[in-house]
Amino acid sequence: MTTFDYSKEPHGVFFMIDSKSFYASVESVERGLNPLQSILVVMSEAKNTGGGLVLATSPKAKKLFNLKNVDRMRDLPQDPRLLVVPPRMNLYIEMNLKVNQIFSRFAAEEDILPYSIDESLVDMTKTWKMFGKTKEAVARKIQLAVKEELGIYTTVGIGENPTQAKLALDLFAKKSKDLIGMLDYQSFGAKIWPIEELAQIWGIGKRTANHLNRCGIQSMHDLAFSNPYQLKEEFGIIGTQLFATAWGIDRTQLNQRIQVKEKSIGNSQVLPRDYREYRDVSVVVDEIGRQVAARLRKRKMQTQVIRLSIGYSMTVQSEEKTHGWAHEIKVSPTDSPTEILANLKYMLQRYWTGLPVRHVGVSVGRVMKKSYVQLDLFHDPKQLEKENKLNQVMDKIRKRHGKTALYFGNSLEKGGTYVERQSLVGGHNGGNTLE
Amino acid sequence: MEGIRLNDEKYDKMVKRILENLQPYFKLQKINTIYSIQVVDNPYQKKYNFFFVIAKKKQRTRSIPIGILHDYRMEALEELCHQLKQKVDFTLRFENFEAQTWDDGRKIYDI
Repeated sequence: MTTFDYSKEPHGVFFMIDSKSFYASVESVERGLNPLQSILVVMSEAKNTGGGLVLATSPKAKKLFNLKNVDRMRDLPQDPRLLVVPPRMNLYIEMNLKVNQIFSRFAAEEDILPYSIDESLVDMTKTWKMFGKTKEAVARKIQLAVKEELGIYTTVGIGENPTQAKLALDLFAKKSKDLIGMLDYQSFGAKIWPIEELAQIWGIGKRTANHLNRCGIQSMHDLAFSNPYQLKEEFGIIGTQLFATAWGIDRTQLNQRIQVKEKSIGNSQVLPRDYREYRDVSVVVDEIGRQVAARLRKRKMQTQVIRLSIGYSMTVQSEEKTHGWAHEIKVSPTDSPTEILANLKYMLQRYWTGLPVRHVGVSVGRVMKKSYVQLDLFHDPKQLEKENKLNQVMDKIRKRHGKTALYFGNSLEKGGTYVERQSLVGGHNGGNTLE
Repeated sequence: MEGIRLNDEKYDKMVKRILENLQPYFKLQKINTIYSIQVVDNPYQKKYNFFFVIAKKKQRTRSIPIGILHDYRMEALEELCHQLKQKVDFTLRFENFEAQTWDDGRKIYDI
């Protein structure tokens, strides 16, 4: 195949809009600084960051000191020009909402998909002509609106479908002077096929890139001209997706949200230090298990599968060549914390061999609406009823007075992290204590 | 600082909150270190931000958010700064106030 008949593909107008170094930009504006000129890093000093983790770096700081996100405090130069600030996750969420509110002046709500805290996909197919003569002019208008109202610079990738818009953003817009990049079906081959660093392409991580290389695929051109059936055989369904990406094809309709078949709910955390004692690990497993059970109750759901995952410390990972483990147990439909914690404890006792732990995750799967309570011969129904009522009262107290109004005594033990983590958002400082 | 004095308990509370937020970052004066409170005009969100700035010689500078004044009037800012200055010895540095003055026409200088 040397050409593709794009006439049958959807031809839309999609904008993928990214706020440039979002956290760093927000913090720069808060300090009266130009986000493109400030020399600033947002650094989390939460206990689980091993001494300080860089969450965001301003463009100028990246250029001056060759910094990247996910650097550690020890990688930062001791230079008085470099401004180090703590994160405020609630502020970033608030600003993200404001940015998306501006987008909603240019497209209907169902045509806007916040892809992450700093990126949104906007389907401008039906509306772009109301705002300018060219797509670039409309993109510029949106950029100006965000800059004038919030002080933040944005980068815009424009494409005929979401994948093209995303690739245009990542590969061209970020490097262009006006921070706008474009792709369409016609120019796709010429612009994308020469790319040899496959991991640069959205949807292709390092592992997939290495796998493709091992299959003799060294460039996007090679991928585009591979046999799609062989790709599917080698990579599974992802293989067909990779093939579609190589041809710039994406038939996604933003206003048709995908219904997730099998729902699951989970929480996890990176621990502030290596946990070596069973008691300490079990406290954290209990805390996370109760959080997951509370989320189940809030949604009036029950679970039929309980999963526990344990991640080992970096030392163990390099010495023992094992990252950790994950196991699950099938249960009768339940939302009972007692039942959930008992099964988690069982898995911990059965599978943990005492190696230092740094990450704990609990999730529940095959979640369904709670329309009945499954009784069995092993549990007293009156006890179940009593537990249910007690949980409802505790949920009400926490809702009214805050999550730390009521918690279990073992959270005060050495291994407990519950109380400290309530002020965090997404694992980092929420930044609420200023007003 | 001169100007109109507002007798309002809310400023007292705000000063207390600012000092509470500042306190974990200043226990003892360290050598070769300049401490200051930066007051920034944020015209986008119409508020005044307060930061505690720690600048140690030849090292990275830290900027810690310690307060926000949502009452976006120069009068309110002046009162808060006046009360804050009664309680702390740090310099108040004003950022983003070019071409602005206090209500009575005086220029805004660091204090």
